Amino acid sequence: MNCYHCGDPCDVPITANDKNFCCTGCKTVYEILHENELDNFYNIAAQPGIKVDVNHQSYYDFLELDEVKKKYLFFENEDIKKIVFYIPQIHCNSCIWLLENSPKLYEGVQNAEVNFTDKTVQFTLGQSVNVVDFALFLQKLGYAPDFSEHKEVKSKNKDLIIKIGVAGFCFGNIMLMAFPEYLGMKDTDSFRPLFLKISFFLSLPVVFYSGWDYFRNSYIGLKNKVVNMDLPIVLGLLTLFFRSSYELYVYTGQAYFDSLAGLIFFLLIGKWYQDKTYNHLNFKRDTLSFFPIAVLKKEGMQFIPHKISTLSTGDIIKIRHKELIPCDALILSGVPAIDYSFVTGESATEYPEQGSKVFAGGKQVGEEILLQVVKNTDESYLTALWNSTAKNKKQKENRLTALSNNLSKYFTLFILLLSVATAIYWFFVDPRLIWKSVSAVLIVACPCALALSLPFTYGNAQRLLAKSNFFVRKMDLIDGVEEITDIVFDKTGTLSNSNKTALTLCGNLSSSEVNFIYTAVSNSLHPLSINIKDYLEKNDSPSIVTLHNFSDQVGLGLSFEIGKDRYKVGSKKFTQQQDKVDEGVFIAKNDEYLAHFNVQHAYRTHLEESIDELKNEYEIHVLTGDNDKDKKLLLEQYGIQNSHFNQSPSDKLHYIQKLQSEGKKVMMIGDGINDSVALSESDFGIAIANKSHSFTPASDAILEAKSFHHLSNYLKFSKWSKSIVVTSFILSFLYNAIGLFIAVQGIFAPVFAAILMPLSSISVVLFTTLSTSILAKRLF
Amino acid sequence: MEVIVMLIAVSLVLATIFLVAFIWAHKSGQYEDDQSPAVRMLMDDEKTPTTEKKN
Repeated sequence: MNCYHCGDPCDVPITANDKNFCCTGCKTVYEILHENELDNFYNIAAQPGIKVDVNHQSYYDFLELDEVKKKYLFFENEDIKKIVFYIPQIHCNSCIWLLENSPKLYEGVQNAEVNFTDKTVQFTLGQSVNVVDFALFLQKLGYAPDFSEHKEVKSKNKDLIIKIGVAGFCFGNIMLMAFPEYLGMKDTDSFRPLFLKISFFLSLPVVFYSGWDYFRNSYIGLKNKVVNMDLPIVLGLLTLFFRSSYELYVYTGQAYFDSLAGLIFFLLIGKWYQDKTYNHLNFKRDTLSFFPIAVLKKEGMQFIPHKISTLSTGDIIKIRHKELIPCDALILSGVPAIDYSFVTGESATEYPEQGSKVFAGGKQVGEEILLQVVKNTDESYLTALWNSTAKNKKQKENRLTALSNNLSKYFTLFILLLSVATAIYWFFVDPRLIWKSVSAVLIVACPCALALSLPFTYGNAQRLLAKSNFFVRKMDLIDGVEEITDIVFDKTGTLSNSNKTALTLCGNLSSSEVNFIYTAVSNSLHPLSINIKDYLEKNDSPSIVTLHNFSDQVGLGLSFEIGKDRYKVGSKKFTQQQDKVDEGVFIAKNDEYLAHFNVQHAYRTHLEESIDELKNEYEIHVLTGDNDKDKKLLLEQYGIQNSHFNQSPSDKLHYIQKLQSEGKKVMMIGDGINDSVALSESDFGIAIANKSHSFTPASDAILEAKSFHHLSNYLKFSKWSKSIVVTSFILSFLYNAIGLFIAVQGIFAPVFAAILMPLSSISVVLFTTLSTSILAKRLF
Repeated sequence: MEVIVMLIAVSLVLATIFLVAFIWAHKSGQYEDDQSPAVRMLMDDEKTPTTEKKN
C-alpha cells in the first residue's frame, strides 16, 4: 500500500476521503489542496507529493533580517514585492502546476513562476503578505525554501553555447566551400580563389572568438610553467591557420580551413559535455549549513532573530521545539530534552540538568528553553573539526586535470622532437619539403580525439549513473573509484533505514496485560504507539478493554490504572528504567520493570547480498555512534568483522585517517552531519539520501537510498569506465600514429586531414558513448 | 556559372540571420529552462469546477 500523496509505502495508513496516507503531514497537504479544489495536482503525475519531513522543520524568522532580505527580495514598491525562493524539492510537472497555482492557495499571492532547471520560484506578493508566514506555509506543503549558501558557480563559460553556435555555423559553410575540392571537380577551379577567401574570413571568428579560450589557457599554463592539454591543441590550431593563410596568399589552393573549424567545433562540444553539472543538487553543505541561519536573541525584553555568526559569549538565546542549538551554551531555564542524534548518530535523548552545558548540534524536543552562549558557533566542536580537514579537500579536486596535464607534457615533448627530426631529415633529402612536412606533423598531432576521450566517457558515465539514482558531483571523481580499497559504512541511516523501525517484544506479558497495552496505545497517536498497536495485532489477537485514569503525557508516555495496579508505558525516564541498555518503549507495573519493546532501525532490504558482493573486492568497515548491541548481528548475518561502536565524529575522522596512513584509499558512506567530516576526509564520500534533493552533508556523490543495493554495480561501472578511457586513448593514439606516419613523409594532403580529423573525433565519441551505454544496460 | 557567386552570397546571408537568431535566443534566456514553459502552456486550459456555468 502506497501513500496517495508521496508514494512511500505505508504499513499503517492514515485514511481520509478513501485515500491512504503514510503520515499526517501528507494527509494535511492533501486536505489543503482538496479544500482549494486543486485535486488536479494528483492527476498530472502519480503520487507527486513530497513527504513532509517533520524532523527538519525550520523557523523562518530570519527572513526579516536585512542581510537575508537582499538575497531573495529583488523588487519592492508600495503595492507589491517580488521574491525568488530556491526550492530544491521541485521535481515534477505537478510541482510546477501546484506552485504556479499558489495564488489560489494563499491570499495575497498574485503570481508565481517556476524555473524548473534552477529549482527557483518567483513570487509576486501583495504587501499584505508576511514573507515568514508564506515560507512556513510552503514548508507545510513540502516545498521548504532553502536559504543556505551553496549554489555552485554556474558554468564558468557562459558564452560556450554561442561559441559552439558560431563554430558550427562557420564549420558548415567552410565545408560547403571545400566541397568541390573533396570531389576533385576540375571545372570549379576558377572559383577556387573566391572560395578560399570566404573560408579564410569564416575561419577568423572560429579561431579568435570560439577558440580563444585555448590560447588563453595555454598561455596561463606556460606562465605557471605547466604544459597543459591546451598547448598541443594551440600548436595545431596555429599551424593550421597560418599554413592555410599562406597557401591562400601564394594560391596553391591547398588549405585546411575546414579541418580547423571542425576541430574547434568538436573540441567545444567536448567542453560543453564536461561543464554539465547537476546545478539543482547540493554537494557542498558544510556543517554550518545544518544550523539555522538565525536564532532568537534576547535584546532588552524582546527576542529578535539574529544571524548565528553575530552571536558572542554571554548572549541569551531562545531555542524552540525541534530547533538546533547553534553553539555550545549553558541552560538557563526551561525543561531541556536534547536529541544529539544529529551529532553522534545515537538516537537516545538526553535530559541535562539546568545550569549544565549543552553542545552545538543538539536538538531541543519539547518546550522552549533559554540558553546562554559559551562559545561562538565557529569554535564549537563540529565546526572546528570540519575546518581542521579543509586541507585535504583541495587535493581531491582537479585530479583529472593533473592526469591529462602529465600526459600532454610527454605528448608535446614527443611531437616537438618528432617535428625537429622530420625537419632534419628533409633538410638533407629535399629542403623544399621541410615546411610542408613539419606543419603536417604539427597539424596531425593535435590531440583532438585525445582531448575528447575523457569528457565523453566520464560525462556519459556520470549521466548514466544519475539516471539510476547515483549522482556524482564532478565527472572527474569517477576516475578515482578504481583506487578504492576500503569501504567504511555508517550504520544508522546508511545500513539501516531510519524511516523504518523494527520492534521486538522482550519480557513476558500476560494476555490480559497485552489487552491493556493494546487499548492504551490505540488511544495515542504517537508513531511508536501506532507501531506497537500494529505489532500486537500481528502477533496476538488483542481486544479493547476499559482503563481507568488514562493519561497521555506528550513526549513521555502513557499511564493508566487497572484495579490497584498502575501501569506506565513510555520512555526509559518515564518508567524509571534508565539502567537498561536497549532503546525503546518500556512497560512498568507499579514502577517495576515488566517488559519492553526493543526499537531498532530495520536494516535495508538486500543488505546481505550487497555486502557479500562488496566483500569480494573491498575491505568493509562499519563505524557507528550507537552502542554495540548490534555487533553480533553484523558479524553473524552480514559477516562484517571490522565494526566499531560509540564512535564520535572525530573518532570516525581518525579512523579514516588511520586507514589512509596505511596507504589505503577509503570510500566513506554515511548520511548525517555526524559523518560529514569523515565524508569529506575520505577519498570518495557518498551521502545516502531518501530523495536526491534531501538534506545531505557535503560529499562527492549522493546515492538515493532505494538504489543502495546497486552500490557494487556502480563501483564496477566506474572502474570499467576507466578502462574505456584507456581504450579510447589507445584508439586516438593510433589515429595520430597513422597521421604522423604519413605526415613525416611529406605527402599529407588537406583532403586527407579533412577526413582523418573528424573521423578520429567522431569515432572516439561514438566508441566512448556507446560502450558506456551498453555497459550501463548490462549492469543496471 | 557566375550565378553561383550570388547564390553563395544569399546562402551566407540567410545562414547569418539564423546564427543571429540563435545568439539572440540564447542571450534572452530561452534555453535556460526547458521544462516549465512547455508544461505551463498545457495547464492554462484546465477546467476547474468553479468556472463552470450553472444552469
